[in-house]
Amino acid sequence: MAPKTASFMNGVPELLILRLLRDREMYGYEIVQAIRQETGEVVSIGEGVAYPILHALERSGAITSRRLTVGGRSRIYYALSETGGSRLGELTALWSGLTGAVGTVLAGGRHVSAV
Amino acid sequence: MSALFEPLHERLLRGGVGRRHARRYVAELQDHLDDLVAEETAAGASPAVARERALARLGDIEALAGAMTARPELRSWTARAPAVAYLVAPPLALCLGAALSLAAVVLLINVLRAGPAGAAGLPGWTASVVQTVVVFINAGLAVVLGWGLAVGATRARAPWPWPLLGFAVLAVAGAMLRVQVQLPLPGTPGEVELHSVFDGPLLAAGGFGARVLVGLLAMLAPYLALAVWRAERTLGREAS
Repeated sequence: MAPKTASFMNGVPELLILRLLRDREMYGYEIVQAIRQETGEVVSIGEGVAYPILHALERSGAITSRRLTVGGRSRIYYALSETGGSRLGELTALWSGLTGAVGTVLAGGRHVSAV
Repeated sequence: MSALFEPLHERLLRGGVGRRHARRYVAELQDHLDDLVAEETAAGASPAVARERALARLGDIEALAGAMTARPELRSWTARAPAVAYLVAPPLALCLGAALSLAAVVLLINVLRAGPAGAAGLPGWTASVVQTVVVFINAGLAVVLGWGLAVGATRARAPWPWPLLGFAVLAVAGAMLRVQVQLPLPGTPGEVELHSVFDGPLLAAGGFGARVLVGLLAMLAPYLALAVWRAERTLGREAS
């Protein structure tokens, strides 16, 4: 039986969204498609479930939003804020540390005697 | 708002999600659905099949609503602190409203007395204006605040015990508060008197219970009318 991955994924959508928005403004559908494509479909978030994450990020000040009309379509676009840039840096460092530590263990890493 | 997303909108409000977040979420889901339909159509699906696939990809109401209601930071403040919203804020608003009304009365009198005709006494209409304000504070302010509470609770889809408790608190507070204003006379300053039900004469008057009941009924009427209207609207939508 494949292990459930939901608990592994806590915080990952926020990290990926902030990283994508660092490069340019995007709207919800674009963000969902970008996560799927750029992770090679390894990570995908529910089509409609991205918006609560975006609203929460905006409420925390990590991103900003505005309604734009592009190509005759009006959509809400999101952009990374300065606070979001700092948050991205923190999450990236945390993720790097976590993956490094887990990778060390999986590779048979250092053994520390129990006290 | 598209009729397709109205049940989700209702579900969000009843789940305590703030009205602004709920409305925007629904609007964004509509945009997202349009993009999914366009994607499926570009992939060769017929319009009907594209829409069916797009709806399936978007997810069911429970999943969509659950994703929002699971975020405490997106809840309305009345959902996060209902006791404050329905039990503490209304009597505070009553006190503030009474204070502001009395301050306006005092300001009016001072302006009139400082005017060119002030030395001769206040104009005849002053007593009527002041009396109207006093009657409003004593008999109408709590009811008006209760109507505001009824509208707010209906819009937020608040669970019914909270607004009913709020009406009760307001009705009691409104019945407790009694204001009297004595206009100044030449050589005699005016007076603003605040009484409460704990003052002997009011308690002996025996009208406290009746005032609470009348106030409560006056606040309940629009709340119930709004509830009936909303229920009829929902039934009409489901029938169509």
